[in-house]
Amino acid sequence: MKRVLLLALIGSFAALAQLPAEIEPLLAKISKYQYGADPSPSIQLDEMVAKLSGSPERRRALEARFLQFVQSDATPAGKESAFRQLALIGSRASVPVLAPMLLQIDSAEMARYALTAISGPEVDDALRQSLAKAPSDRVRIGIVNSIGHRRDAKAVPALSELLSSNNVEVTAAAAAALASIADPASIKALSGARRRADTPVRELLSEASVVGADHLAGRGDKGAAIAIYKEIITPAEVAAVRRRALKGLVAADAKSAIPLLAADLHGSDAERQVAAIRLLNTIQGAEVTKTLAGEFPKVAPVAQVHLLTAIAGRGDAAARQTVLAGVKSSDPAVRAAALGALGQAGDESSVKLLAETAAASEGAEQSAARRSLQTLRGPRVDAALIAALNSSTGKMKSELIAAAGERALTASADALTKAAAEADSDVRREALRALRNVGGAAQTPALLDLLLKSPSAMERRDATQTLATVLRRAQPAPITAVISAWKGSAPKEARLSLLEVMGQTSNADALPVLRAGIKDPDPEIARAAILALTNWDDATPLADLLNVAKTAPAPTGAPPPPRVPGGGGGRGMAPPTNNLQVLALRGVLRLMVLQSDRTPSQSGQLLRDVMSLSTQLPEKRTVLSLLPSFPSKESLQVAETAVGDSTVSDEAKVAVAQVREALKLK
Amino acid sequence: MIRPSRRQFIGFAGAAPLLGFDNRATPANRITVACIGVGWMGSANLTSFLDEPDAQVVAVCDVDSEHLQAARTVVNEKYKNQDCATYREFEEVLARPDIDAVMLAVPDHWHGVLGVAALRAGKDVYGEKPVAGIFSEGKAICDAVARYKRVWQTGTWQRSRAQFRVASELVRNGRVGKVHTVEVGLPGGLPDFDGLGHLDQPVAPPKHLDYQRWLGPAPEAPYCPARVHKTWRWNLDYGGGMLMDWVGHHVDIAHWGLGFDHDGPVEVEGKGEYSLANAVWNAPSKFHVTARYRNGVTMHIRGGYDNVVPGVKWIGDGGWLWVDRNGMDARPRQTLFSRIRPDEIHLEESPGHHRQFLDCVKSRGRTIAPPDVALRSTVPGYLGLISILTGTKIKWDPDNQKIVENSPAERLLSRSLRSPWRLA
Repeated sequence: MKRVLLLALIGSFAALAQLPAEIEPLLAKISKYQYGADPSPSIQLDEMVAKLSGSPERRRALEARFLQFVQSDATPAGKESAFRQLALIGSRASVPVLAPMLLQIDSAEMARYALTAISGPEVDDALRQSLAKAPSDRVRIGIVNSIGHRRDAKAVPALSELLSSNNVEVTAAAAAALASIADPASIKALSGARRRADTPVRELLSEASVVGADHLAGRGDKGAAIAIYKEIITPAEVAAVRRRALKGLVAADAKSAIPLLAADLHGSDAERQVAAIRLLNTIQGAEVTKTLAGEFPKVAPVAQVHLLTAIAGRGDAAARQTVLAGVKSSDPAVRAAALGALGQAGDESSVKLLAETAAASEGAEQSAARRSLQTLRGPRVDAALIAALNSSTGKMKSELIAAAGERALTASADALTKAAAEADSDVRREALRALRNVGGAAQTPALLDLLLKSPSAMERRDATQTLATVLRRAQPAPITAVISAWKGSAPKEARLSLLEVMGQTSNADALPVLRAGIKDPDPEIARAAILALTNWDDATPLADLLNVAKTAPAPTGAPPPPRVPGGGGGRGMAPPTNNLQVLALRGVLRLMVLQSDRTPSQSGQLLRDVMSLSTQLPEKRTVLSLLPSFPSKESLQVAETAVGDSTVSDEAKVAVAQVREALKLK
Repeated sequence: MIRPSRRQFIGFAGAAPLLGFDNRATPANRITVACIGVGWMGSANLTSFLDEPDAQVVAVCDVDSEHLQAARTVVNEKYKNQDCATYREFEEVLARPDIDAVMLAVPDHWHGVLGVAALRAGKDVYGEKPVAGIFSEGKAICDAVARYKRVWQTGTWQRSRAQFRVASELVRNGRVGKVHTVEVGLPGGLPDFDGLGHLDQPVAPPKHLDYQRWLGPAPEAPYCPARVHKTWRWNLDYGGGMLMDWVGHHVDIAHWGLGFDHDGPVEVEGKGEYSLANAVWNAPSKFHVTARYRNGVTMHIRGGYDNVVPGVKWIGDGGWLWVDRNGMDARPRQTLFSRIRPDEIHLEESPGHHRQFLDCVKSRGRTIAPPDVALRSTVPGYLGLISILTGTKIKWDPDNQKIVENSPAERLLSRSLRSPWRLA
């Protein structure tokens, strides 16, 4: 074998001629490399190797050259580059050179770094043979770790000896390596050592045995794995290790695990009960459901909570009966868990129970009942919910309406529209809110009517939001009726709401109305139109708003108080104002961040205009915070000019640095 | 009389919280948390756990005593006592039987070793993303979570934000039609967060830092400020640049929307560019990874180039939908207002990423970002980086999670760990 390798190496040296001439000057630089020096030769070498290593001949040639290099008088930092390349392209031809380096303190780590990446028995032999000769326990542990990673079965005798090392770190490394190898010999070694060991080494070896059994089972030898699990599942074993063994047994042979888990349920240890419930629930079949259901009345409340959660998803009749029994428990935590479980285990017959509970309870039980009402599944659940909604009143009706909304139950739209006109104000409010998820074009006339006739500002607000949401979802949005209503004789409050609806809809048909609105002599209408355009979905109205900002009078008097720091980052909240010029500026700034075809330079010019029109701090700060998003000469000029403005000098300095950085990245 | 154990008592309280006079869970009823790694991201996670009334941070651990003392002060000021224990070595934390859960916010090269050790010690884990810096170490974490039956929440918190769930649900339920392309925009560059990038020459480590522990399983290398703390990601021994920093966020969401939690690409090709800002940072500063999936979807993951739009954009035969931390957009716009019916696919709603982890610690349920899912979300990043480094196109078997016939690339799925560290 050595002769073959030698010949291969000689062949590789012969192949050195295939390497490009540029590699030698690079290696010459790398041979003198010290940490802290220019790393570009190493990166150039990486790129060269990436290009050349596609060819097997050139890869061999590179390997030979790097092997020469690691034996040269290059600096350790320079050699590191070559070791890294060998980890990438090295072959068994590298072993004769790298193996002796494992035994030198200075080179052991990087030699192992390269060797461990190479596959083949030659590397395993080298690692194994170096184990006894390692110059320190630290180097030995590294070699043991590599052997474990490579799962070298021939190393089991040597690793077994290390289980009795005086250094517990060496024992732990050897146990981990044996567990990773997981063949009959390694498992036997672990088992034997475990029986002889005292705590805490025994725990360490038990843990390694379970890990080994997991590997055995994963590789198909379930019989051997089951034997180890059963050996570990004893009352004397540490609870965590015993639990892991039980889990392994369930995965390998669920049937044999059921009696052991059932026994844990019968015991008096709540922790074991919960662990057993969770493991039992991973086993399919009616037998387990029956076992869980039968144990429900006998286990502690804490275990009942876990059992209900577990059994809910099993989907058979026994599970539902157990959940319904839980709903009647005297323990509030158990009741809440059962109500939550009903969302999975229930059907149309659960609708009324859940709605009644949601209406009559509070806290965790109410939350669980509501959640279940929203998530109940089944072909007849929706129909049952609508029927119950139509026949109920008061709080229960409100709960059912909210559930219909959360379920986006479009079949309930007519029932909800009717409910939105009822006398009970709570029911009306819930129905209006639910219609946001449910309503479609067919409900638009009714919603518009509700908005126009709203008896209070709060209901008008709800109706506005609902109408806007429904219109936005409809395709195409039936905005004509809203525009007609605007042109009609509705009260002013309602007409202001209609402008808001138009803005939220962002429908092009509404643009002429809003463009006229911003010029309206009534400041309230102009304000509502500006806010509507500010909410537009794209930057189309940006020029309209900029025009208002240029023509409307700027605010006079004292500027608003400075923003409170630590308000959640970002650009923060600007103080409220009714000044149309300020509102229009804020609208321009809001639309600027939307996606557009503007170049960074054009955006910079826009921000320059906005800055020149801004008289107050919030807008100036927003401009400065936006500048780095549009790296350009113009943005930089805006920031540099603002450094001279004492009110925003600090922010401007940050913006200058950020724009410069962004320009550099470009 | 059956006496519940401490952990079962916590589980019981999860269904019906027992509150003390200050509306906090009583001390015996709180989940005890230790925070390991309390520098940048770790200190943010620490604050999140301190804000949860049923969690009690009892210990902090860091290889940098300056971080450690700062974190201890934060904890003690919050609880108005002097009880928070401090540790430099994580083994001491894991040996404490009274600690239920640990938060891990350490450099990526530590994720595998520390994660597996914590799981093996019986701790539930909130672990920062990516699951691990190297694929095989992420796989070891997944195996350990299953073996030791522990709860693991990956710090890919975007799944706990409503807009990402809503966007993914809409795509998952076909609102943009059949998706054929996904554009994922990530940050690029190698930002010098603390301005220490120029300090790239070897010097003696400061006394407050246990540098050998910081290096841990990574190859030996001399200390310099540019190598550690906020900029370690820019060296490939410890991180994977912006690609590996962000892939777990946005590709995770892309996969969520595609229903690829248990799938992966079949072919990945990456191109990268380097900026060589100093002697230590060797990760690509610009990258374009193309991942192809067996159902015909092509995903482009870009960072560092002009016109990269941050976030995730699914493009289907019925329109497109884009989501980012700053919002959502779609064409047609009506897509954004479509409701998901009960008989459609509903993705899990999270009450908050740390909160959901604590809930799962109590219920023993599955987290919203379990490691097996997070690992698959990271695969396009692992393979993209390997493709960049080897200059080869990678063929991937998503069922068996293996590279097909590419020896040099295959080797980069794992790496040798410096002694005495191992994944067991």
